[in-house]
Amino acid sequence: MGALLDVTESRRLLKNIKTQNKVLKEVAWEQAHIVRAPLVRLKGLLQLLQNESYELWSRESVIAKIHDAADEMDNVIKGIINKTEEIEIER
Amino acid sequence: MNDKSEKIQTIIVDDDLIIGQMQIFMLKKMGIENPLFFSEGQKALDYLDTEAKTFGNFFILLDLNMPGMNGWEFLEATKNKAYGEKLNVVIVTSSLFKDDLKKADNFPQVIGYFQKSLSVQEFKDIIALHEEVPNYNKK
Repeated sequence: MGALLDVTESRRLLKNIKTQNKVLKEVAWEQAHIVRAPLVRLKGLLQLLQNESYELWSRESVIAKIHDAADEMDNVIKGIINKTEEIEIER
Repeated sequence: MNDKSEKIQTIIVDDDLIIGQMQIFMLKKMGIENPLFFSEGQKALDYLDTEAKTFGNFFILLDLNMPGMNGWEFLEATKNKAYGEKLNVVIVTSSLFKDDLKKADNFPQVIGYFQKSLSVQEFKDIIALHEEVPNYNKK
């Protein structure tokens, strides 16, 4: 009886670890791709500001795009926080 | 007069329209003529399927993470095409994963790999790769 309970317990733990690993991998992937997408756009736009390069867009337009990119980053990060808080662990 | 069969056509594939416009701007500034922009992998593939015969070579800046056909799927889809050898792909990604860099080795079309955001120096490096594409002197 005791041995049987131990196996059940370790299976439960293993399952939890697997779930957490999966979420961690997803978060890492999102960090690499989804978070960095608006971030690299932001960096590119900042280069335009720094070089005072307004041939492509006006200064105002560049700043508006920087705001949009920052908002997008904020939303992505909020999404990640929600996701990690939602990890369901079987007890 | 209008023979383009020895020319290099430059193509940008990126789902981020702002990044796309900045890349077009930089490439033009550095002397690349008439770069084309596609916001979806599938659209770029459709273009190549119809226009591949028109040009001698293609120089492609390819993003990896895109909705629909992503960069990897684009590379997979063009790998065995008759025009596959005409493609010179430079991956330009926001990914920092080493695995992505390794994976790029599996595709003979890939001639370069850059992580965004691109500095002016990196754009110069990309132009240098463009100059190595066969038929460059006939552009």
